[in-house]
Amino acid sequence: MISKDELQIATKTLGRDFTETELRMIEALWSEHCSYKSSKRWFYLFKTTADNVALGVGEGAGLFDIGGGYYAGVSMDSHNHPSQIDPYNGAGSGIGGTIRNVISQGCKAVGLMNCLRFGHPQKPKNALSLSNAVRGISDYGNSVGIPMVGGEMEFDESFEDNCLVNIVCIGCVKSENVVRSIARTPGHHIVIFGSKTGCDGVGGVIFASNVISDSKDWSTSAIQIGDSLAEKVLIDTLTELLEEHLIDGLQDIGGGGLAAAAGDLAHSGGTGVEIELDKVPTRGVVNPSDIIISESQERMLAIIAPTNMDRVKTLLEKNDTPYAVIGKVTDDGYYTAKYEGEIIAKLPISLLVDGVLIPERVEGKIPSQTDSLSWFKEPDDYGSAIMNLISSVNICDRSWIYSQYDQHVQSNTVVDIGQNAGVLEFPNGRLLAFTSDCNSFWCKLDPQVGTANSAAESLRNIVSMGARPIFIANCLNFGSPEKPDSYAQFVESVRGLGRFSHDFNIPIIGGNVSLYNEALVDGQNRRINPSPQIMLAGIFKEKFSPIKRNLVTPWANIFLVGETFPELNGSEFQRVIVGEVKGEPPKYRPNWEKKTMDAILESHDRGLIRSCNNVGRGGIAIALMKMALRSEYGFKLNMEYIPGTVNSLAQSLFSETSSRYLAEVTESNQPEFLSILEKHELATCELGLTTLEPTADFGRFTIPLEKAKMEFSDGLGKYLG
Amino acid sequence: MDLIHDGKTRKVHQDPESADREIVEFTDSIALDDEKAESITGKAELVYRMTDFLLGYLEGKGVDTHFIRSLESPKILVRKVDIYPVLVVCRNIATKSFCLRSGVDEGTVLEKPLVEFFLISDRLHNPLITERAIETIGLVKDEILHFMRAVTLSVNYYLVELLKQQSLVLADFRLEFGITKAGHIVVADELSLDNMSIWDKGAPYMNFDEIKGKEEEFIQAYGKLVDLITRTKPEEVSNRNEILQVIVKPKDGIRNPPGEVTKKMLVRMGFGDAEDVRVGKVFNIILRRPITSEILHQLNIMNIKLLSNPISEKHEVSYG
Amino acid sequence: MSIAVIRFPGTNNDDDVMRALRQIPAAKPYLVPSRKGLAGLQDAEGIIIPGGFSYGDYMRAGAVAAMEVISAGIRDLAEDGKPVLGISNGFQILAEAGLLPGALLPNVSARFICRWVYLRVSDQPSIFTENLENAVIRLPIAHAEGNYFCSEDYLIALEGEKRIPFKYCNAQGEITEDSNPNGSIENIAGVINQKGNVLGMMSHPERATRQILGSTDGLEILENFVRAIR
Repeated sequence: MISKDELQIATKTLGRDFTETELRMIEALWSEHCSYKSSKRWFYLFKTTADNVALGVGEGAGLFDIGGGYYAGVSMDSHNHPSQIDPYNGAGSGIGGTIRNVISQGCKAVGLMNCLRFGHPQKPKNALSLSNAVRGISDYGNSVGIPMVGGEMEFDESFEDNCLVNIVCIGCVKSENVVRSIARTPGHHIVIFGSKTGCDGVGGVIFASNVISDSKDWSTSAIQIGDSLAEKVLIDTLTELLEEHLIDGLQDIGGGGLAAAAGDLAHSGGTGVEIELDKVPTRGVVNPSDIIISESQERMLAIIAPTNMDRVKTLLEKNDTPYAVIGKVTDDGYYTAKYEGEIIAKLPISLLVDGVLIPERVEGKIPSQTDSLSWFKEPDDYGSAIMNLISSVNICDRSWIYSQYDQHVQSNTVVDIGQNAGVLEFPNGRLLAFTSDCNSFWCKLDPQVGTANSAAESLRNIVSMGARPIFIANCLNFGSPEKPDSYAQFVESVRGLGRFSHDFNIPIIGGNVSLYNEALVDGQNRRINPSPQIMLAGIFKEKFSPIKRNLVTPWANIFLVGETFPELNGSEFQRVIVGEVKGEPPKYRPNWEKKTMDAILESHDRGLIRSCNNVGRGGIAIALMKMALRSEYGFKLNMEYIPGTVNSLAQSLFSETSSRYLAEVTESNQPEFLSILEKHELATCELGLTTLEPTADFGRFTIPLEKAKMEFSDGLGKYLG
Repeated sequence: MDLIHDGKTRKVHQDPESADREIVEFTDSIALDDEKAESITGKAELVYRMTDFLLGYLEGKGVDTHFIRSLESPKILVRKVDIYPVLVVCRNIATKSFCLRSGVDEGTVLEKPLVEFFLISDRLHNPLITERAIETIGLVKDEILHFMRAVTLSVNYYLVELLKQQSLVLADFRLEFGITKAGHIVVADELSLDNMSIWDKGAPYMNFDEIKGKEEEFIQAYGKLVDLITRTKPEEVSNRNEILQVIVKPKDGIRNPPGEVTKKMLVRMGFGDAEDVRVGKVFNIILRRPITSEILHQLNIMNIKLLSNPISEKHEVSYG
Repeated sequence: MSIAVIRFPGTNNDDDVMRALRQIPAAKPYLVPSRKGLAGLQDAEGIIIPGGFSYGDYMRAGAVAAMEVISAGIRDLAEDGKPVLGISNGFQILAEAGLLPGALLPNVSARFICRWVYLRVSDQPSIFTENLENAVIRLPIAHAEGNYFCSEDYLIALEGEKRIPFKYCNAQGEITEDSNPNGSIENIAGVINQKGNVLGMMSHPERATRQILGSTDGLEILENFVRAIR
């Protein structure tokens, strides 16, 4: 909803009162979702430029030069509010929108990822929401024919009333085929194509820019219904239009509908637009101001030169795609909307797109945490502690979810989901790895450190497979920016991600901010854990085969690289044993992180590592178990000496200190591997050996892997059916 | 011409040219309950004109009737049918017997058209009978009753809309249905004041019970009504949407995984009484014309070809 | 060997099949959008119907595509003895069109399922499985309705006429319940028509045609398909 202040300023700038249509346009474009009015001011903290960045943040997708004349594209988007109300359609249409962001730059969409956060599935309503969201993603994503290559999932009570559905779409485009979201030439035609415009999704962005509350009656019209067949036909049609270079500018019609799409095109081109709303193909909408802000799915807006118009029409008609020429690019700097010949809106583009009043936001203070471990006590039974973690929802096997996603369509998938990162082959022959991470528990305790460390965990996922990080996309999910404590979480988190991007010199080329993820439930305000979802892409050297985390040879040595400190506050161990997270989360150590990264990558380059895992959630214990659970082998370890300052077995097993890796190295490669670690001045220790025996032998205790596999694989299934 | 049936208000003859057709000849008689009481010269001609116009109109809108064409007055040529042993009555305004039975005041406009069935039996004086009873005693199959109801409602709509053009109101009417040799179920009745009650300005246009001694007036008024009706413009009545609903269900004995999963979830959410769940599909097919036997026949082919998989699914159709 | 690869609206494995066929020197694949109807099949010596979600699979997988004009053309070519291969949604279309017996019901899990599976190839010869007799091959599946069902009589006929080239099995080649991903009757993973020239299979040979993708077993099936065109 537009505030009184905003309205006053806007009216003053315009010099007259708004028409109804103008007001609704302003309301949509000045929403937090469209305008980033609370968040944009902090983006300067991010590293956004680099030699290989072909197109930075700002349009549908960021583009990154991966060599051989090809760019990789990425878009990351949230569909949190709609998914909370209607998980099936909300999540499905989230997939659709993110894909259209990527194809609007001329890319072929080549991969998808989804990051989900829900309430604990032991409550049937949470289980139902989750399985519906997954079904929505599965039905939509599978049928448009784009492989799912990765994702992430986290459960916490705080997501019960505000689930998070973040989608990543990866694209690929030849450099000469890039299309921009710009209306640069007055006189060019504006063409809408794809599905018809309906009442669904009217006011979606305003919906997404408010706190969900039971008292407000958000009619179902704010939910977009996806049609995956229409999307597939749209993609196929667009491919033909792009092949013939017929499009001068292109924009997905998403949040803010036609008001935002045409407004943005004109804004980036420094032009104006004139739209005849009665020409828009509709189904069931009659009100012109509904037409202009409807967020109906599967629609695109293209700028077409008059000379190409006939050919464009032919292709659209051949593919049976609904379309209409709805207006022209102008040179007057105005967004003019007509209905049946009458002007019903005429707003300066500068006011509409850029005029939003930057609201004052107050950054509160983040409560300080202690590093006290007074809660910690050594478990009586290490084996059962590990079993508890392995079967806990934040660690267990996710295949119940991802087996519902087509991972192989397009025949480019080199590594399926279930490893540290998914790997795709690109048309230039290069392999790229994609991963996503966020530990919202760390972020809750310390947003800045938690965010930087979540990014570092993504980094280790990529590095453990042998890839070098190349770019970041993010989706920042937080509570209301109008509340100082919540706003502080957001700002601190941006600082954390900014630090990380500069520390590691990795550009951020795509992103999205989703605020107001809090809900009034029975008079109580319930806010999500701060959840900066970070997607990281990496590239492998040519001819390098990605290294997985499952053990591959018997009688090889398992090395721990990096030092371990007693960092159990904020850990999964604490959460599962104590039932809550508290204290100072593990520290962010960029220097150590860089050293271990360099050492692991160098070892990979020389082919010294057979399997490798990042030490993350659940510490060494879980990292080791994950290496064994998907392999035919077990291990036999001696955990008595671990470099660092831990002083008990449980601390060694479960500490979540960053910048650590586990590597499987065969006997013959050991001297070279150790010399590389030494060169990088890294502490390491040989934990033990891989064995033919299907047993996880930790020295002081053992776990039969057969049993662990069962617990691990049934972790979600037992709630979801 | 062989006389097949000698009724109160009409005679039915065999069509000498085809065994599948008959000729209906209207008479001047007026049916007053069950005695053949009055005969008024000129009535047959009016019934003929009104029926010719209205049946022709309904046929034009796509309603399947027995009407083929008019012959010289007062005869019409129709398809030969086996008449179903029930009368279908459709009411828009509460009148006479319905008021007596329901306690509703005479003249009350019903919220939506009401369809009732009456047993055709002179001996029992054509009593009201429930659909359940018709089905239970095996008079007419359930699906055929539903079909008759749906067609009757379509007929009601088209007649109501047509009469509206002359500010006339259709209070109620009754229809007989029959089945042709080819298996088509059709409206097999005349459409005149013998089986319709038309109101004008809140009262019956004319009342058959009070015609004794006013025969002249009666015939004049009837003639004026027929003039009004035949001057209406059928093309200005827009076609009504009808919904055919096809329900596709998994065949018994075939596993139904979606149902099994739904059941599991129901039980988990506390609905432990769910013993079994079977998930099917519903197709709502919207037509811009009345339902006919031919349409149902085509739909049946579509059901087998497209809407259901005969190996694993069965289907049923409902409408109206 | 000109091979028509059919694309219905919603088909999404057409590129994959084209790309896999281009690896086979003798194959001349060409893409036929279904709207071209019979004209699109004029030069076809063999037909592949790739996977995907024809017409969104909104009604029942493959049901709408089976009613298209081009499907009648596919039937004619099949009756002519030309090899026809339906993969995944293509199998569903062939079954719906009645070119292959049986029906593909929703998976037992009632969920879409994507994973690698092992198939035991029949020891009986067929044009599609030359040199693969009795082998255990590894291919990916990705479908929601792959639960093969047919009546008892048909099952006996299929077994008797050796028309079941593939059954789901474990890595050791044993046909077990655990290795059945979707509930198919008798672990059936593919069936052949009476004439022996039409094959439907739920798993994706075109996704197992390069070592980097994890298997090349699918390429052999496609090579057999191309060889079968005479």
